Amino acid sequence: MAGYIEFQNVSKFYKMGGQRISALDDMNFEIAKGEFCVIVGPSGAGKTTLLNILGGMDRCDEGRVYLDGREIGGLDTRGLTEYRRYDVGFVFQFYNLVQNLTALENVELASEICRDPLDCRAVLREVGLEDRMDNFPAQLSGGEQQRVAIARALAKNPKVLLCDEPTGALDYSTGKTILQLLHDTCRRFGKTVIVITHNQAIVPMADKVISVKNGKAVRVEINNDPEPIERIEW
Amino acid sequence: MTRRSIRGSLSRFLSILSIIALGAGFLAGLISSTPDMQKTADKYFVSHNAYDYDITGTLGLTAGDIKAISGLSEVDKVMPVYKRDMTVENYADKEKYTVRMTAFDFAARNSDDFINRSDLLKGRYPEKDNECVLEISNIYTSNHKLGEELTISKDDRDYDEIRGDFKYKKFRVVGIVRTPMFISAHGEVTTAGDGSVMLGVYVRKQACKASVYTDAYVTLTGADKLSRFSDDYSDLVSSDKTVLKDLGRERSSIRSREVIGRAQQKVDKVEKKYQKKKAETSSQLADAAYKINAGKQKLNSSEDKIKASEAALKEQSSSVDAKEDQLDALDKKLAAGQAYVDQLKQLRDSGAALTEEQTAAVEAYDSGMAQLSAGRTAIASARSRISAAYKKLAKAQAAIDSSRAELAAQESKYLQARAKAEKSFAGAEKKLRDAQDEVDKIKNAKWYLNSFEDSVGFSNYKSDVDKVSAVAKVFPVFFFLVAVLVALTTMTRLIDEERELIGTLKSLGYSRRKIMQYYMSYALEASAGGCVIGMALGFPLFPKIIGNAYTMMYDLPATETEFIWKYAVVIGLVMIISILGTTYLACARTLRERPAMLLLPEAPSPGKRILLERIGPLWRRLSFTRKVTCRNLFRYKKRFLMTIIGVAGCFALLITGFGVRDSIGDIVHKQYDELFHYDFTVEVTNDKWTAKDKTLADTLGNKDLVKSYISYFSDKAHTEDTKGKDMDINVISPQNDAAFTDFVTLRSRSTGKNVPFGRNSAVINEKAAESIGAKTGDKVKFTLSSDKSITVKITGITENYVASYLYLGDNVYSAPNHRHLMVKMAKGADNDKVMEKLLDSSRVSYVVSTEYVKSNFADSVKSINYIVIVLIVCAGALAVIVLYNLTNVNICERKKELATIKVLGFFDREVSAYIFREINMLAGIGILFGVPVGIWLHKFVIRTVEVNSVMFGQNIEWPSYLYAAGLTVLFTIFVNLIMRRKIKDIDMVESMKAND
Ligand SMILES: Nc1ncnc2c1ncn2[C@@H]1O[C@H](COP(=O)(O)OP(=O)(O)O)[C@@H](O)[C@H]1O
Ligand SMILES: [Mg+2]
Repeated sequence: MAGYIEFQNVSKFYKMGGQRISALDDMNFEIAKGEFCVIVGPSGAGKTTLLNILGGMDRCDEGRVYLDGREIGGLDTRGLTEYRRYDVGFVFQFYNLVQNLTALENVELASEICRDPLDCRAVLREVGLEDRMDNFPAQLSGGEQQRVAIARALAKNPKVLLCDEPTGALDYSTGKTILQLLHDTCRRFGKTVIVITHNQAIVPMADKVISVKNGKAVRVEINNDPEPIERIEW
Repeated sequence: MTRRSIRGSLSRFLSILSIIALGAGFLAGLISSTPDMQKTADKYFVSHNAYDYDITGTLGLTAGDIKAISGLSEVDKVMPVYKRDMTVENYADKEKYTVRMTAFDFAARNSDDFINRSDLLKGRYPEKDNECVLEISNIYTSNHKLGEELTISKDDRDYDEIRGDFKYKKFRVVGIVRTPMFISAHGEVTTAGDGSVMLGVYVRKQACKASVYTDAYVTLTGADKLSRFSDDYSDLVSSDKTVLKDLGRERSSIRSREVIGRAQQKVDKVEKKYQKKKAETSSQLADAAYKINAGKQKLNSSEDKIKASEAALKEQSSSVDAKEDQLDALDKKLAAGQAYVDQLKQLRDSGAALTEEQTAAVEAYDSGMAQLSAGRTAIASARSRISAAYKKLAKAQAAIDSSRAELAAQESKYLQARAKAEKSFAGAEKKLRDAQDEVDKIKNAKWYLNSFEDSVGFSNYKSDVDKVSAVAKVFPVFFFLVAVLVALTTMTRLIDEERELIGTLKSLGYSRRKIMQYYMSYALEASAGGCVIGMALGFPLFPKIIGNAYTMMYDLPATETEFIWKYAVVIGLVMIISILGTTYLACARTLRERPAMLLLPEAPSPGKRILLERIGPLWRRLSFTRKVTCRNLFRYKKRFLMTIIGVAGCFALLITGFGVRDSIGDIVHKQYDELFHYDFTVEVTNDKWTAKDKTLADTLGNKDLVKSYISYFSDKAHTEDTKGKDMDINVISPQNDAAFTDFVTLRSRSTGKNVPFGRNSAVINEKAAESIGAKTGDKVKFTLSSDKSITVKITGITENYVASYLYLGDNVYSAPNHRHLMVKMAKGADNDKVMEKLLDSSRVSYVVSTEYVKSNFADSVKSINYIVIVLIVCAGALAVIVLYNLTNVNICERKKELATIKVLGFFDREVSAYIFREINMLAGIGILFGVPVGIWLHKFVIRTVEVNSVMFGQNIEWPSYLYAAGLTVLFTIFVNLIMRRKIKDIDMVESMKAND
C-alpha cells in the first residue's frame, strides 16, 4: 500500500536578492493510495511549495516525486499540464470558482477537459448541492462555494485530491462540514486526499499526518484509528 | 511613490501614455496642417509681393493708364508688364508648349515696387535679350533644362503680331524660377494653345518692342496685412474691384477713342492719297485718248483728199485717152489720103499746076499732119503729168498708213494703261475698304480684372487646404475621442485593481489627499506626458507630411510647421482634464469606502443569466466554451462597450481611409475607361478640313492608326448655380448624334442604365445638374462664349466625375461649326505616334490625349492618397493600442481566473482561446458596428472633400471592407500573439491569492 505518492529527497530553492532560501529541504515521505493525509506545519514551513510540486504547478530542484509510479519531476510543461488535467484535483482556500458560471457550469468547466469525468450533476448531488446547481457563486455561501470547488475537483475523476487550506476562509462549523465532505469523498470514492492545514486540531481525523517544518518532513504519523470529524473540536 | 508605480506597471503606463500621445498628436497635427499650410503660403505671397489684381487692357495699357491706376488710393503698387500667351516650340525635342511670356525689368527685381518677385531655383537671370528664365508649374514631371531653346511657333494664331512685338523669336533658357504667378501644377487657363498655360517664360524688358503694356500687376492697399485665405481679404478684393472697374471704364473709353481715332486717321490719309493719285491718272489717260482720236480724224481727212485727187486724175486720164482716140482716127484718115497727096505733090513738083481742088487737098493734108503731131505731143505731156500726180498720191497714202499703224499702237498702249489703272484702283479701294472694316472692327477697349484669388493656382490651393481642414475636423476628433475613452477605462481599471493598496495606505494613516495626490499625479504624468510627446511629434510631423503631399501639385515652398499654442492648450486641457476628472471620480469613490472594506476582496460582480439563455434551443446548441464566452461578453459590460466602440471606431477609420481611396481612384478609371471611350480630342482651325486637308484626312482614314472618329461642336458656356454663382460647363454638340454614344457613354449612375441621346436630347452631367438644381424636364438657360444665350430642356442626367458637360442634340442647338474631333485609336496603335500624325496637319490647332489627361489627373489625386495613408497608419496604430489596452485590462482583471483554469489543467492554447474567443468576438462585433459608422464617416468625408469640378465616387468597394476587416483581424491577431506570452507567463500561484 506504500508508495502511491512518494517524495524522495525533494528540495526546492528560491533565490531572493542573492540569498538562497530552501522552501523544501531534502524532503522524504510517502502516501498510500486512498489515504486521507493531512500535512501540517507553521506558516512558511513549505506546505504550499510541497503541494505545488505535487500538483504539477511547480518543479522541484532536487530529488524525485512519484505519483502512481510515475516520476513527475521529469515531465515537461505540457506533460505537467496533462498531469494536472488528468491526475490531480485541486481545492483552493478561496474556492476559485469562475464567477460567471453557475455551480454546474463550474464543474463542467473541469470535466469538459478530462478523459473520463464523472457525471457533473451526480457529483454536485453528492456534495449536497442538488438544489443549487444553477446558482452563480455569488448566490452561494462560502461553504457551498467550497463544495462546488470540491465537486469540480472530483468530477475530473483525479488520482489525487489536493486541498490547500480548504477551510481557511470558512467559519468553524462550515469548515468542519467541508472536512467531513473531503473525508467522505476519500472513503467513498477511494481517492487519495491530501489536505494542507496549519490547524493542528484536525490531525486526529487523518490516516496519515505529515508534519513539516523548515522544509523538512519532521514527522510522519500513521493514525490507525482516525477519529470522526464530529468529535473533533478546535 | 509614483515612480515606483510607473515602473510597477510600465506596460500599462506606456500604453496610456502612447494612446494619449497618439490621440493628441494626431489631432494637433491634422488641425494645425491647414493653418500651417496657409501661413507658409501667406508668408511666401507677402515676401514675394504677390499681386492682388492683374489688370489686362484689351487694347493695351498706356503710361497714362498706369498713372491713373497708381493714383487710386486703393492701390498700393502697380507694375506694368508686357504679357502674352502663346505657343512656343522646342525644335530639339519637337515639343510644343503653351506659355505665358512676360517681359520684366529684371534689374528692379529686388526693389520694393517689384510685384511677383521670383526665387531663382537654378541657373541665372537673363543678361541678353534672347535669354529667358522659365517657371515650370509642374516641376516634378517636367523635363525642361537649362540651355534649351524655345521658339515662338508659327502655329500660333497671332504669330505675326507676337513676332512683331519681340526682338527675337528664339529664347534660350538660362534659369528656372518660382513666382507667385504660377502655383498650381495644372498651370493657368488661357485662350491660346491647348487652353492651359503650364510654363511661364520671363524675358528682359528690352526684348520686347511693343509700344504699350498689356497688363498691370497691382497690389491693394492693406492687402499685405491680411491672410489671402481670409474672408477679409476676399472682401477687400471685391470691394476694390468696383473702384478699378470704374477706372477701367473711364480709361477704356479714352483708349478706345485714341486707338480707333488713330487708325481712322491712318485710313483717311491713305484714302486721300489714293484719291489724288486716281484723279491724276485719270486725267492723263483722258489726254492720251483725246490725242489718239484727233490723229485718227486728221488721217481720215487726208485720205479723203487723196481719194478725190485720184478721181480727178482718173478723169484726166480718160480725157487724154479720148483725145488719143481722136488723134488715132485722124491718123487713120491721113494715112488713107497720103498716097493721093503724094501723087499730087509729085505732080506739083513737076510743075504741073494743080487744080484748086487739088491744092486744097494737099493743104488740108499738111495741116492735118501738123495737127496730129501737135496732138500727140500734148497727149504725151498730159500722160507724164498724170503719172507724176499718181506717184505723189501713192506716197501720201503710204505716209497715212504708217501714221495709222502708229496710232493703233498708241491706242493699245492706252487701253493697257487704262486697264491697269482700273485694276489698281479696285485693289486700292478694296484695301481701303478692308482697312476701314478693320477700324470699324476695333472693339472698344475693356479692362479685365483678374484677381489673384480667382487664379487657378490660388483658388485650387485654397480649396485643397479647406479640404484638409475638413478632413482634419472629422477624423482626428473621432480619433481623439476613442483615445480619451480608452485612456479613461485604463485609468479607472488601475484604481480598481489597486484598491487593496489604497486600503493599506489608508489604514496606515495616509490622508485621503495624499492617496488622491498619488493617483492624480500618475494620471497627470501619463496624460501630460502623452500630450507633450504627442504634440511635440504631431505639430511638426503631420503638416509636413500633408504639406509635402500637396507640393506635388503646387509650386510653393515647403510647409513650415509651428507649435500652435492655441491648439496645444485646448487639446492638452481637454485631454488632461477629462483624464484627471475620471481619475478623481474613480479615486474618490474608492476612498469613500472604509479601509477594512478595501482590504477585503471587492465583492465579485455576480454572474448573471444573459438574454441569449432565454432562447433555449439556441443556447443549448452552443458548445460549453461558447456559452462561457457569451456569458463573459455580457458580464463585463463596460469593457464590452469600450472594446466595441474602440474597434468599431478604428474599423470605421480604416473603411473611410480605404473608401476615400476607392472614391478617388475610382473616378479616374470610371471617367476615362468606362465613360470616355475616345483617345484624343482634336481641334481643327476650320470646319471644311475634310475637303481641304489631305494630311488630316489621310491620318483619319488610316485604319492602322485610327479606328473611328466623330466631329462635334465645342464651347464653354456658363450658367448660374443654386447659390447664384457663375458656373462653367462644356457644351458639346456632335455632328452625328447617333454615333456619339460610341465615344461617350451616357448612363445613370444610380441605375446604371444608358441615357438615350438623339437629335432632341440635352443631357447634363450629374454634378452640374446638382449644382444648378436641375432635374430631367427642367429648362435651363446657358450663355455661350459668344454671349448668345440658349435655353434647353434637360432630357437626361449622366454619370460623370471630372469637369462638367452639357451634350446637345442637333435640334436643340444648331451648331455653327463642328471643328472638334473625338478620335478612337486603332487597336495596337501607339498613342504618341497617332498624336504626332494628327499634329502633322497644319489645320490642327491642338490634340489632347485622353491617356495624358488621365495620368495627369491620377497624379493629382495621388496627394490625397498620402492623407489616406496617414489615416490608415494612424487608425491602425490606434486599433492596435486599443485592442492591446483592452485585452491587457481583460487579462489583468482575470488573472486569478486564468491561473485557476491553468491549475485545472487547461493547456496554454486552451487558456489563450478562453480569453481570445472573447476578444475576437468583440472585434467581430466591433467590425459589424464599424461598418455603418464607416460608411457614414466616408460619405461625410467625401462630401466635404469634393470640389466643384470633380465628383468623387460614392461607393466603397468590397475589397476595402475586406482590407479594413483584414487589417483589424491582423491587428487582433498581433495583439493576441503579444498577449499569448502574457497569458503563458501568468503564475499559477496567482490562483492562491485571495482577491478575485
Ligand atoms: N515564489 C517564492 N519566492 C521566494 N520564496 C518563496 C516563494 N514561495 C515560497 N517561498 C518561501 O518558501 C518558504 C515556504 O513557503 P510556503 O510553501 O508558502 O509555506 P507555507 O505554505 O507552509 O506557509 C517560505 O519561507 C517562503 O518565504
Ligand atoms: Mg501556504
